This record gives sequence, C-alpha cells and structure tokens, in this order.
Amino acid sequence: MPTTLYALSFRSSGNILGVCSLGEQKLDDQAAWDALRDRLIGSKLVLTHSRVGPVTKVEQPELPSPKVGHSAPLAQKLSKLEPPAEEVAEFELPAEEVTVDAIAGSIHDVDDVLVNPYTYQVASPVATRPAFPGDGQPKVVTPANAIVKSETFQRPRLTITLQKPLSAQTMAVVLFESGALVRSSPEADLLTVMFLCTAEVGEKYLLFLPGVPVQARVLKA
Amino acid sequence: MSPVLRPTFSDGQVIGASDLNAHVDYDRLALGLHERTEHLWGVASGLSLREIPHTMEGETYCDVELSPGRAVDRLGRAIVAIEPRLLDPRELESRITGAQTETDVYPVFVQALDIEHTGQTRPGKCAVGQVSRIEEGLLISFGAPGSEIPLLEQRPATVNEELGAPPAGDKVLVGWVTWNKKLGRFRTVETSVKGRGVRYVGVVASEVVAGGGALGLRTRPSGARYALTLTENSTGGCELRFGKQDGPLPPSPTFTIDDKGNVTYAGTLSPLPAANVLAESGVIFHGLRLPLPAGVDEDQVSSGKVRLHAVLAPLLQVPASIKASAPIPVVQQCSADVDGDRRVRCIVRWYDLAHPTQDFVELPSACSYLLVASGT
Repeated sequence: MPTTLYALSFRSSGNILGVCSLGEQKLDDQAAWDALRDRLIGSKLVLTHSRVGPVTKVEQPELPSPKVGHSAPLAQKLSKLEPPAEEVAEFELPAEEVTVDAIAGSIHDVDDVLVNPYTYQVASPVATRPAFPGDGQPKVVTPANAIVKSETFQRPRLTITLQKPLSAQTMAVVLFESGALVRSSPEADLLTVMFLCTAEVGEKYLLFLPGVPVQARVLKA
Repeated sequence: MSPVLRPTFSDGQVIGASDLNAHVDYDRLALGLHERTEHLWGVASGLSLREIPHTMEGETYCDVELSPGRAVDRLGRAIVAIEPRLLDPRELESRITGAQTETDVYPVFVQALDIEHTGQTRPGKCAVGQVSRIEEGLLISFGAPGSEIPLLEQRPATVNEELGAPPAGDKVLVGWVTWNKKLGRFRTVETSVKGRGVRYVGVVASEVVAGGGALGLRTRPSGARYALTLTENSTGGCELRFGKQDGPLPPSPTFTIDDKGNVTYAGTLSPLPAANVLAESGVIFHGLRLPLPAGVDEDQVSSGKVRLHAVLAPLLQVPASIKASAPIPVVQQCSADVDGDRRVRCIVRWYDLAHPTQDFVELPSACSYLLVASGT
C-alpha cells in the first residue's frame, strides 16, 4: 500500500505543526479531509515547545546506564549532564485552526521534516501561486526561515518586527499558554505586527506567521 | 386406476355396502397419505412402558404396563390404545430361544390390528353373522435383542407404497424390557439402549409460520423442559432464545440473539472465534494521535470490542536546528496511551558530547509506529 506524508499546519499561515506518514487515504471532499484531521489530532493539537536547559553536575550519575548500550566512559560523561527540573510549556490549538494536506513530490530532507516540522511550512507546488492550507490540493514543503528581528512587550502591546516585509494580506496570530489566540495584520511598513493582549510578562507564546519557524517565545518587557 | 377413488352418488341410486365402505376408505386413505407425507412416523402421545415392581422368592421382578396413547406407523396408519394394557410375559418367554443373558434387552413393539366384529343389529335384517364393525386394535409384540435397529433405520414410505393395503407388520417401538429367567417374569423396563431410543412423530415442512408473532420448539409438552423460541416484541423487534423453561414461564435466556444481531450467552464459546486483526503503521510526530486502522472506529475501541496494541520507536535523526558537533540523543519519552486518546508523546533531548558543559536542547520528535487492533 503506498504511503503519503500528511502535514498538519496552522490554517492562516501554513506553518507545519505536525507530520504523519501513513497509508494513502481516499479523501474526496472537505468532510473527508476534516475527518482525517480529527483522526490525527482529535479536538486539539498539542504543541510542545523546544526546551533549553543548562548542564550541571550531579552526585549520583544514573543517566543513562550502560545497560542501554553506551560504553562506560560515555555513560560517565552523560551522567554529568542531568539538568535541573524545569516546567515544560505545552500549547493546545483547537482543531478548527488546523488543516491537513497531502505532501506531493520529493522532499529535500524528509527526515528533517519528520523530526523538526516546526521549521517548515506548506506551500503551493507552483511557486507563483499562494497556498491555501487545507484546500484539498497537494502541497510542497518549504523551509520557514524568516528572522524575527525584535519582540517587545509593553502591556498590552506585543510588537514583532521582521527583517523582511510581509504581504499586506498576511494574518499574524499568537497563541498563549492559556489558550488565548490573538490575531493581527501587518502595520503599514509591512515589517511590524502589533498585537493587543492581556498576557503578563514572562508568559510563553507561539507566533504563527508565514515563513517564520514556530518556536516558543517569552513575553519580555 | 388410481387407488384414490372418491365415491360419488346420484339421485335415485341404490346405495350398497360397497358405496358406503368406499366413503370410509377414502377418508382413511386421505388421513394415511397425510400422515406418511407430512409427518414422520413414531409415537405421538403416551404408549410408554411402566414398571410395576414385585418381589417373589427374594427376587424382584415387575409387571409392565403400556400406557394409553397413539402412534403412527411408517405407512401412516394410526395405532391407538385407549386404556392401559399389561404386557404378557409368556409372549416374551415363547420368543426367547437359545442362550439368554441378563443384559439382553428385548424391544417392545406395537402395531395396528384390525379386529372384525359381527352381530351388530342392522335395520331390516335379522341375520347378524356378517361383519359390521372393525375395531382398530393394537397388537403388542416382542423382538429379539437388536431387532429394533432395522426398524428404526427404515426409510419413510413413499406415497404409493402399499397404498390402501397396510400390512399388519408395520411396527412402532415403544421401549425395551429385560427378562428374569428364573422367575419367568420381566425384570426391568428400559427407555433407551446403546443410544437408541423410542422414536416420536415429527413434521415434514420447509416452512413453519406462527400466527401471532411467537414460535416455539419444546422438548416436552409441559413441565420442566428446554425451549427454543422466536418472539416478536412490542417495539417491532424480535428475539431468538434458547433456555430451560418451567411450565408457561418464558425460557431462561441461556442464549439469545436480538433483531440487531446482538448475541448473548451464559456459557462459553468453544472453540473461541478467531480474532480479526487490523494494523496501521507509519511515522507520526509528537502531539498527534495514532490513527486507527481502516475498518475500526472509536466506538468499537471505547466499548472494548477492539483492543489496541502499539509499538513506537523514536526517529533519532539529528534535526537541522541542532548546532552541535557531536550530538547525541537521549529519548525522554516515546509513548502513546492506547487506552486513552492515543496521543503520541515523543521528546528527545540532545546533548553535544564535544562540548559537554553546554546547554542541552529538548525537542519534540517523530516516531515510527505500529498500531494493531484485534477484536471479534
């Protein structure tokens, strides 16, 4: 049975939020696509942001033990890498904000798409045409490598500035840990997006913008 | 000419005895044909052997009584006893020849016997020497051990077999007796021998239709018995039920099938039905749910009709976003709760062994999976 790569992406931006390779599905209409999405995520999609922690020494090295196949020196080395406990932020996105698309054609680095989909987005196979995630048409995967130049928060304003201009029709969205979704359009300079939000400093959020990789960010004053 | 002759009469006809007898013969013939074509021969009611125990010279013996009843022989002829009849031990004794053992069991048969009676008064006739009534009597006979076997195995009579002239030799088995040679009396009554039993009447039908929405098959006419019933209910449904039944009460629901195909049973299935197994495999990212195999729905899983088994293996491809010269993964989590929402949790922590004092990076990742659904 042939298999197909299906990408789950944010509806308004095309940012890929998850991928799944499974047997080719027969999807004739929008209801069938929605049913596939619901099979894959249920009523929500759980997003876990990447976490960075410092390495510290521990008194009793146990991670990992030689039983799992590492040589003794390697195990000893790793045993010193036990990080401090840190809360992991998770975001939950309602299913209706998520679309599913079949990925057509070959992918340059399919393994990286599989393990690191947050740095990719779906796009139309025809470069000159805009992509409409979830429209039932095959998509391609392209890297999302646009750079966010700055993020500033002066309650209630969150201002995001990009290096490259956005399209005037772009819809930018931020998702907070609380589940709140805030939408906004680019300012006149097409480089700045401003959100009005009730969040507090220190709260984590995800930014969904075409071309921008999805990663956890923190509101900083 | 067909032996099926229906008498008919005309005005002014002088009706003789043969005309009247033809009328009787026609009805008897019709009844016999019905019995032999739409029913299976055997005992219809009663005609069971009952022991009446006695003691003589310190030994026990019994008299044997045949209860009233009715049977139909293979040719469709009725055999009726309207009162109890004692079996004559001398009849059996006269048939026993050669060596006889205590384990010998002698089949007891009944058969129809016409007994002519004369002397009945008839109008306008003084002489009474002619036969005026025929008693449809009963003859009890004994057979040699095992002689019941060919009788039980004989084929049903065809329509034309000995039509209109049933021989006296068509027997119906009603039981067995054993013999006390010392006393010259019956010793016991047996109702079955080596798995063989009395044969009871049956019905030949390719379709049986109930008049009121309920149909039943019962092992006995009354009392404690087993029943198979097919009963419509007031909501338009129907239930097939097998179970023990006492009197007029409904059978116990030992085994039931409802109109939706739901089967319930009190015992165990043997052999167990082979389980259907469906599988789905692929690669899936953290946060997604393992998709059920095609043909399996959520209701089947939540109701427990289908069991799920999952095998997950993390993909340890180094993400391009990891900027490390000697990256090494440590899988923090790779699981999916198959009894819950089947959401995959796959977290991999990346260390750089070339710079062990640097920070680690923990990323959600993908895993390959095999999801197996098994059920009946």
